[in-house]
Amino acid sequence: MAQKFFMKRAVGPLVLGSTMLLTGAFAWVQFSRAQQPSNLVRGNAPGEWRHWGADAWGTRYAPLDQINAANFNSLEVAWEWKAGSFGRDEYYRTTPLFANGRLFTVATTRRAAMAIDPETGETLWMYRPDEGIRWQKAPRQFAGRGPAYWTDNKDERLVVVTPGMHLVSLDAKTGIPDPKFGKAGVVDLMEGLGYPLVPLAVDDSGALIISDAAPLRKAKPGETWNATTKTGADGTVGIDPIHGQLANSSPAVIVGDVVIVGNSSIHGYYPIKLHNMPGTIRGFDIHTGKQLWVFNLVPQPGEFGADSWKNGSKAGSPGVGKNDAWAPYASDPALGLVYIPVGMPLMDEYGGHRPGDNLFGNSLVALDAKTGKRKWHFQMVHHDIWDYDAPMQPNLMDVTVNGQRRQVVAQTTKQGWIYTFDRATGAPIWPMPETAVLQSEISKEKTSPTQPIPSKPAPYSQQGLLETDLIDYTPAIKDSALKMAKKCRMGPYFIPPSLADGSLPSKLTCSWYAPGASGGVNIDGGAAVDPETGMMYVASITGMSTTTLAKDPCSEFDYSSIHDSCGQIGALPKPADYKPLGRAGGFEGRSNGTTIGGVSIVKPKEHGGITAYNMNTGDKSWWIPNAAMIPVTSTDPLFAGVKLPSRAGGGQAQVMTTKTLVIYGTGRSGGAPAAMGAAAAAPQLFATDKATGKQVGAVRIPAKTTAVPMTFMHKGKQYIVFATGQGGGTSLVALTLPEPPK
Amino acid sequence: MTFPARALRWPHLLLLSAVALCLSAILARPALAQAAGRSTKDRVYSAAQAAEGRDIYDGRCKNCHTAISHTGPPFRTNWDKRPLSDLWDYILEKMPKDAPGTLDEDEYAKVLAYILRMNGMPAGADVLPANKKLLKAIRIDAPVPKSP
Repeated sequence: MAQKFFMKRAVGPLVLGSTMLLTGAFAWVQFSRAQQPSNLVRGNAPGEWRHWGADAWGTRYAPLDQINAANFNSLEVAWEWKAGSFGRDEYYRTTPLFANGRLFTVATTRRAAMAIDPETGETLWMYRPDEGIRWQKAPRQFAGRGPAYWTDNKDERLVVVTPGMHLVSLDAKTGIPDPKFGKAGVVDLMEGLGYPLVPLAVDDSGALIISDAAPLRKAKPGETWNATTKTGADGTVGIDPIHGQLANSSPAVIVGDVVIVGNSSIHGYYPIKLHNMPGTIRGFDIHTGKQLWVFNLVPQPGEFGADSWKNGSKAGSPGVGKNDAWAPYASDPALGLVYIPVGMPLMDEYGGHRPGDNLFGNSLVALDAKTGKRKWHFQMVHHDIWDYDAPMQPNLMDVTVNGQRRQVVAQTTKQGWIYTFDRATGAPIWPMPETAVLQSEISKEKTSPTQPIPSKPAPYSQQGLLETDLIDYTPAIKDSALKMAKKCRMGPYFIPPSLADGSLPSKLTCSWYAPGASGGVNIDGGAAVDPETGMMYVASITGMSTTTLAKDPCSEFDYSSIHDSCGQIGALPKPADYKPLGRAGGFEGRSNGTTIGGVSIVKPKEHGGITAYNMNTGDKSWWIPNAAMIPVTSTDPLFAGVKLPSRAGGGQAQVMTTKTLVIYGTGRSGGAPAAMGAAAAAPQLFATDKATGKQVGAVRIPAKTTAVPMTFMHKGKQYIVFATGQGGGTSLVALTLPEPPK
Repeated sequence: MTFPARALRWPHLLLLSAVALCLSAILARPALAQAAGRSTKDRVYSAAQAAEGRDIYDGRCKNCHTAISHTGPPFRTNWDKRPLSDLWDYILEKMPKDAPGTLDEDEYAKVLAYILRMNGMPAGADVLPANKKLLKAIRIDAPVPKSP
């Protein structure tokens, strides 16, 4: 068997289920034809949420105002849909879609696609892929960010990219795969990349571990499945894992009739192999599943940008890999362009094996959706060694800058800046001069001499660490903070990592790292924009950590974050002089030594939380913390008699905006701590006045949001739906206003 | 040892009941309050607590690192024979990696229970306490892994 796919209906016996399904579908066709809007706005129908970020532009904006400041606190739970009933997950990171009267989501580690009745929370249909061992060893084995929706006002499709890299096109009315798309509704995304597919086998029954040390392997001739040990070849085919791993975590983007799909990759923390598959962006025909084009995110020899890989860029070569575009994409249907935020090249914090700028890593790339041709690109970080993947869907908006109407695309990033461009040409809206930056002391690491530094807007997170950033409430506190700060390499931004053994000229064994790998903006946060006013609301975190590199004794890389891969399946043999690294290992060490007596050495600033920018001017408009300001106390005598300022609540807030409100959840790690009292710490959804940032509502919810919420109108009622939970306890929660008294 | 039937009169029964009550009260307290020098092999957490810990682990830990960094040889190398409070301090200060210190203490205790479970420590009736002093009296006895 190549793959196994089957569909289950969540309702009753098959006959009854089918009857209900057909009845529902029929009733809907009548309704949808009557209601089908003729004019889409930014690719979205009025009152709907057809795209991951609400519309094609990724605004997360719904011009609805039934739920407003006056009634927000009376919101009630309309229903809770228990995704956990269908299987386990990591945290539930999905934002559902609403189109033509149905709510669509994905759920569980299988990334099952579901349709839900938005009024009752009843499951309408389910499509659950069974991808065998390709799923078992999938690097991104979770529900993912969501599905994609397409319609030509006659047919409707729900498109899902599975953890095991299959592109599935379903009839959105029934969940039945489109028989005209690929093979019985499925395109194998491991085909079409130039690698032959081979039978696959697995040597253990576990999931893929964090590194690439225990992936699948090519099956031996005649190898079969051992049902007892759950090892061997189960009939699954795919790309030979010696080439690397492919994964997916974000939905496809559909522009016209072209389904645009990229890929994610394995984590870059501790890879063992010095190569991995380069990222690609591909276009597929929505009607047939035919692959229309491929764009290489690591330009292959002869392609534009290949010379930015000084040791060569050929796939499979040592040092080459990734540049995977794992965040959601945005598009401008009128310009026919899709905007791709690209991740970094292979190995997060060391790039000695890949000298050069490493295009299109860490770039925003605009592609022609029909042809896949590059219209423009801008590399935001040259030769990344900070894990600064472009982590979030860019936001499109039209604003008036210096009296001129401009079509812009704004990219939020881990590194704390918004990079804003003319979205037709790629010209920066505000200057981003190439600026000299610190250079690595590691002889094999050839850091870029400059990085583009946006002059506007101002950053939303702490960047680097300078003496002026340190707490200075008393001379003794200032001295202590400076002493701690000087233990690691300091600078304004882009501080190259140091070596653990103190062998560098500076003798330093760590470098300050702000923002860290988690951002700034990262997976859970990002921005909502108001296309009517030009305001942009950026949810981010701020923080401080350190980086230190060492040689992993059982990895092919010269350096990585301190880690010991020895003993893992697929790792190199232990060297003769092997000594266990012990507890010093891992990026866990990044949080070392950033506080004195529990007090951060960095002065509290209006960073993280939610920052509102007026993108007509590029100026900050207002700032609020995520949920609360948190009191800071210390028993350290150093702070005796000092009234310590409170700090902003942490975690990536999750924002959307409506006609009058910015609505946000705290995210899974945000919110007030238990020490502030049960009422403050309870999971809540907040509403703020979008003009001022003033909180105008807060409503208790069953659990903290784990993904960006969405909103829509259905049968005259506005709903807010968001994902919550983790492990076996994931769900979608719908809020709406109580029925008026009759 | 046997008691003569006449010895079991009501004052004695009352005394026995009181002893039993005290014993049950002690047993109901969190693990390790009852006796210093226990080991993680002594059923110091409950299966239900570890199950809740698994949910938190899946949501807050697994997206940065899977079990490989804290099971088997790495776990044994880093933590064997150390007080459980050391591991408690470590995860409280440094985890989750992307937002250290953002779980509440009960949640950290649940995750710790799940880490013990992943490392083959037996579950019992006791709940692992979210209390450093009590955890200090539990010694980590990491099982010898079957294979490297």
